[in-house]
Amino acid sequence: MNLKELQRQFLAAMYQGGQPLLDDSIIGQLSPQQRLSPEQQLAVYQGSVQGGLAGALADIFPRLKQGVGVRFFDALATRYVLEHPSRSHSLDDYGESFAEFCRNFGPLERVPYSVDLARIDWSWHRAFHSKNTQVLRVDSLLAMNEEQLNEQVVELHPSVHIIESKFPIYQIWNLCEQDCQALSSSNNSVDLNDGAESVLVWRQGLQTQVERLSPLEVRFLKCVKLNMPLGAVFEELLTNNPDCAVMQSFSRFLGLEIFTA
Amino acid sequence: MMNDKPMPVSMPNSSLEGVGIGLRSKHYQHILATKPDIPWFEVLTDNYMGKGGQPLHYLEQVAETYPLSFHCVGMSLGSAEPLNKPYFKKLKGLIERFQPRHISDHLSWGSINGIHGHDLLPMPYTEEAARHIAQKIDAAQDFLGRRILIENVSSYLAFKDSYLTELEFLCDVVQRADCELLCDVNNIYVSARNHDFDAADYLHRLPKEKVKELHLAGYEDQGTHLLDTHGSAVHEPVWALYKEAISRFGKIPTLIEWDTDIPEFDVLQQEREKALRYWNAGAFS
Repeated sequence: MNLKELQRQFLAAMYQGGQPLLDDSIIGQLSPQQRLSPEQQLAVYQGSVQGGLAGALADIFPRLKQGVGVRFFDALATRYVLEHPSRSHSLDDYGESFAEFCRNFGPLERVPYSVDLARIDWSWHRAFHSKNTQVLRVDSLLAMNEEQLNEQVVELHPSVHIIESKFPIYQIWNLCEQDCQALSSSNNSVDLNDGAESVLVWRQGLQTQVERLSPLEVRFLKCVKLNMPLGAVFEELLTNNPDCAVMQSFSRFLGLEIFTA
Repeated sequence: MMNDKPMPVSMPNSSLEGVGIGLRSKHYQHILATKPDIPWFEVLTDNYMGKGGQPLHYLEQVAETYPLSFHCVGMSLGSAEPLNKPYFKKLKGLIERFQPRHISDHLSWGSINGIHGHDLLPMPYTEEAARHIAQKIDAAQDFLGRRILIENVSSYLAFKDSYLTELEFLCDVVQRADCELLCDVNNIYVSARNHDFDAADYLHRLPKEKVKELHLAGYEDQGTHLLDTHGSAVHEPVWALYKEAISRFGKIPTLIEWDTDIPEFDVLQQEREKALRYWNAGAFS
């Protein structure tokens, strides 16, 4: 067998679980050793590859892990690894479709907010590694006249992610972040009937942050994403909201440093 | 294989000295706050290929005080396909930015046909495979403009096609590619136990002039085999082998590696001091 075919078969076997292998021809390429049979030899490498990738998922999705429980997460991660071979040389790219996988994973139906928790964890991970960019300071806006300000288009910092959820996801995330094991404990619990929440995930300087967003703030950021000039953003929002609320949101965003210069 | 092209020039080996420690994110604050007396840090380069944020920020700060070596896991030099250019472009950018004294990866492969295992997978020990990996090392050295060090890996498996021993394969590759060697003492011991060969004999038959760095780490005894976990202190038989390595290769740079269940920095310091005692006592041969 030539080297490329040997490696193709070997790597395919790395992403298979248990015995017997779906395609066991790679076993025939291994020489029995005094200490380990061919199956055992292969299993050492399978354990290392699969364990490494499941470990990467555990590092990237720590709040989801807290939210669903360690044992459940481990089973979930192992299943994902077997069905999703890595397609990037960077381990940091692994797990991009994990939230979608959670959505379609039957046993997670009883933890309906897990998909949104996974989306926040993935966004946190992406924000952590995102590009360093100069942020927009209040000073530069103060130097503008009203006309310039109205025509100004601001951009979101590359680390910014907005997660909208029909669950009180900020409270749930916070609880998991505090290392809580059970969402139903009497002292630390979230009422799922508290309704929808949205969160902002971004990096301020070196610190990755998660904050709750009001419905107005979500609309504000969606307008910014559409590259609307500030004047048009304000016009859009002021039709349904008082001046002070819109200004307060803008002021908060400037303080959080989520716009780029 | 004779190479007609001028070989990349590596930094003088004397530019990295003594016993270094692997840089881990858990220790950033401690290192920057206390500036411990460590001659150099090894960087797991693949962890610094993101676009920005904390990893590169802290690496910049550490690099202001300490010499660095770059240790890679993603070159996949043994894969039967061309170099992964996007990976090597990122690596080259980091090399230009941080000017590491040594650059190393492993005698293994990790990806094929766009699928990645993110692991150090075994090679069949054949001439075809040796020729291939040597060509990849040549290409990597040409692309990076630097000579690289190749590390022997821990092994748990034997291919039927292998008609060379691991040592013969390694020596053949180094001869063909004119690269240098990173001798992982723990990996020699682990593979020797798993495949019943003599670790000291292996060490003594390595091409002495090619060995430019040594690695020390801990393994785990799984009963049926030893597993290279990098998750514990260096074991006594590995210290004994290290003593032989220093005696044979002289006082070449040595690294304390610890990748899982990473302890407080003091524990690594203690391991470093133990290695330093062997290092200082080592006779030049």
